[in-house]
Amino acid sequence: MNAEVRLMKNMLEANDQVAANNRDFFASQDMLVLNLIGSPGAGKTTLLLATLDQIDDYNVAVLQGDIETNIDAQRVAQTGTPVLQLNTHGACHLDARLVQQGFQEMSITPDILFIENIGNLVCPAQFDLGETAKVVVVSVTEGDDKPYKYPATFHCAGAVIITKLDLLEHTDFSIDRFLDGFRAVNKVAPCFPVSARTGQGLRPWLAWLKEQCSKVKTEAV
Amino acid sequence: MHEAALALSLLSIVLKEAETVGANRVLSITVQAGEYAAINEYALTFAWEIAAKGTAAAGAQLLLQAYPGSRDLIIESMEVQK
Ligand SMILES: Nc1nc2c(ncn2[C@@H]2O[C@H](COP(=O)(O)OP(=O)(O)OP(=O)(O)O)[C@@H](O)[C@H]2O)c(=O)[nH]1
Ligand SMILES: [Mg+2]
Repeated sequence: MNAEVRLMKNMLEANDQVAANNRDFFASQDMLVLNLIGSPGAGKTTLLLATLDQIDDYNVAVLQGDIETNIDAQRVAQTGTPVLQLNTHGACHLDARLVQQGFQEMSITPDILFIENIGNLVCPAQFDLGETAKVVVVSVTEGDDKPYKYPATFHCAGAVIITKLDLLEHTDFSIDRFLDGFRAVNKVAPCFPVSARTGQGLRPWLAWLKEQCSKVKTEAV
Repeated sequence: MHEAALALSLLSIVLKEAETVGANRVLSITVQAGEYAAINEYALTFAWEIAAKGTAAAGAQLLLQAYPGSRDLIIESMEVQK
C-alpha cells in the first residue's frame, strides 16, 4: 500500500537546532557574534586585524575557520586576542556544532565574538551558526558583479564590507553598480567601503559594530 | 556545493520518519527549495542517489519545488510503501 506522509521538516534541522542553542547562549551572555563570510583572499583576516586594533576597549575573541592550517589564527594571536583555529579538513563551510565545540573549548565569554568562516561566497550562507549577524566581505579586486552572481549570500547579510578600497583606481569596480545589485536582494543592510590596509573608511564600520554591541546588551534586559 | 552534506541530512530525516510510520520503502520525496538556498538540483540529485543506496530510500525520486524569496529547504512530504 502506498501512502503520502506530510513532513514539513527543515532539511538543515540538525544544524539549525544547534545554531538555535548557540544563539540562545550568546544572547544570555549579551555577546555580539559576527559571522564573517567572503571569498578566499577577500580580506577577512586583514579586516579583522584592522578592526581588533581599534576596539581594545572591548573583550573580543575569534574563532578562525579554515579548511587547513592555523596561519590566520597565528596572525590574530599576534594581536593578543584569544583565538581558536577551526579546521574543517575539506568542508566548504563552518557548521553550528563546530562553533559550539570551539567556543566551549575557549571557555571565555567576550563582548564580541568574530567567527571567520571558510573562504567561500556560497556555502557558508546556508549554515546558521547562531550568530547575531552575518558580515559579508567583498574586495574591489573581485569585481562589482558579486551580488548579482551570489544573491543568496548578499540576501542574508546583516552588513557588507567592500574592502581593498586603496586598490579601487586600479580596477573597474563601480561602487554604484555593486550597490544596485546589492539593493536588489537586500534593502536594509549597511554597506561600508573600507581599506583595511590604509584604514580608510573604517570609522563607520567601527561605529556600526559598537552600535550592535550596545543593542545586544539593551535587548537582553 | 555542499549538496553531499544536505543529501545525508535529508536521508537521516527521511529514514527516521519512514520507520516512525512503519514504511518499508520510500518512493519519492518532495522538497521546497528556496530561491536563496543555493541548491543545484543536479548536484543534489546525484548526491542523493549515492547517499540513499542500500537503504529503504534507495531509488526514491527527489522532487524539487522552487520557492521564491526564501532561503529555506523544507522537506514537504514523501510517498512511502507500507
Ligand atoms: N591592498 C590591500 N590589500 C589587502 C587589503 N586587505 C587584505 N589585503 C591583502 O589581501 C590578501 C588576502 O587577505 P586576507 O585578509 O588573508 O584574506 P582572507 O579573506 O582572510 O583569506 P582566506 O582566509 O584565505 O579566505 C593579503 O595579501 C592581504 O594583505 C586591503 O585593504 N588593501
Ligand atoms: Mg583569512
